Amino acid sequence: MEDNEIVELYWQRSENAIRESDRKYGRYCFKIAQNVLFNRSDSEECVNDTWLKAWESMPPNRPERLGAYLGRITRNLALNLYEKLTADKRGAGETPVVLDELSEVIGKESDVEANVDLTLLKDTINDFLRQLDRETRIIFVQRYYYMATVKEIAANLHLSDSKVKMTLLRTREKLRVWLQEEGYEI
Amino acid sequence: MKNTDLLKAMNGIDERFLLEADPYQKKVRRSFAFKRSWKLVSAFAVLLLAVGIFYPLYSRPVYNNFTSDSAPAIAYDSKEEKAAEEESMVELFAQLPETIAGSRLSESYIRDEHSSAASYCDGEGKETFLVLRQDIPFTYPSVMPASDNGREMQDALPHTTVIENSDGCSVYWQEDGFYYCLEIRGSENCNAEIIAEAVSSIR
Repeated sequence: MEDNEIVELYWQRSENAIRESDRKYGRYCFKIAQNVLFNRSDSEECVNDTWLKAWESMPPNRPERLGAYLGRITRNLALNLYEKLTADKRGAGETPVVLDELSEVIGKESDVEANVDLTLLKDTINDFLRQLDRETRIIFVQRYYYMATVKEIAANLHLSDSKVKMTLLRTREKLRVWLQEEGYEI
Repeated sequence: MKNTDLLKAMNGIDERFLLEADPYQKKVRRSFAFKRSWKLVSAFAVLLLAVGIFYPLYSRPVYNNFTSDSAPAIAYDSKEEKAAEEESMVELFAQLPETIAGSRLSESYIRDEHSSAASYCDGEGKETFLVLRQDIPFTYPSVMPASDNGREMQDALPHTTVIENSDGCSVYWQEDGFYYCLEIRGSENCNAEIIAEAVSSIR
């Protein structure tokens, strides 16, 4: 079934909407959650919550690309659950490693919790990604959005592990400089 | 800012960047596989082209400046084949004069199915001229004669190439589909008059 047809089911409040979403994007959303949580039951819980969030958000939303829309919901839910589960300890999987890498970008966390305007930060990140070359951008997004491992990224793009690691290292440094120039305290 | 803020902010990444990078879409993986394999294919094609261009130029057997002692041995599939090839090389001998500049025709021989040779010796038995005839081109450097004598010889011999060397000189020309080389041993024999006479008697 096409995305627009599934979205129409949501708008018509048909229960088939969730069945069709699960059939087309269930595995995709599960993979996104699994990459963050590295736990099967937690990931399944996230996917189920995704359908609920999708049901609540459509209408009024009418996304053009349903996969990306549902993926975002799943990722957000997974990250929130990750924060809740690992408030003061490290868990398994790739997420702690990714967070460590991103810590290089922001430097030492301030003792004073500053409220970061996430909307502005999202725009800044998009501006940053826009000026990267295609390969670098794909590596970055696969790592920090899709939470893919270095090996997975290397296999997807037919690159060596060391090339991927070096690209991520350089891009994180560029992002750090970019955020500083945009006025973020790093 | 916390590292989790940055990670959450990634949720706002533009949809087209997400689709471009989606690791679960085969077309993303395929496009990079194609890109990598295309580079390999291009490199291989360039290599094949280089081999295709340079191999024919350098794979031809070269017969330059050696005497009958170093003629290579050729294996033939049959005696008849050998005889047929050699017969085409016999004509050289029919063309040659008995003497060139006081040196007499000493021996003539078939070197292989591509080449025949005839040598001229002086009164003391020393080889002074060697005539080579091939159905494949000679390879020689394309440089103008360095000395006045060399240039004089070249001017006297149009439609040839004169190459000076340490022990004399060589003259190359092409005629009737064959390639000729007249090697002159001894610089005393390298003068325009002698060589012009020698070449004209061979031609």
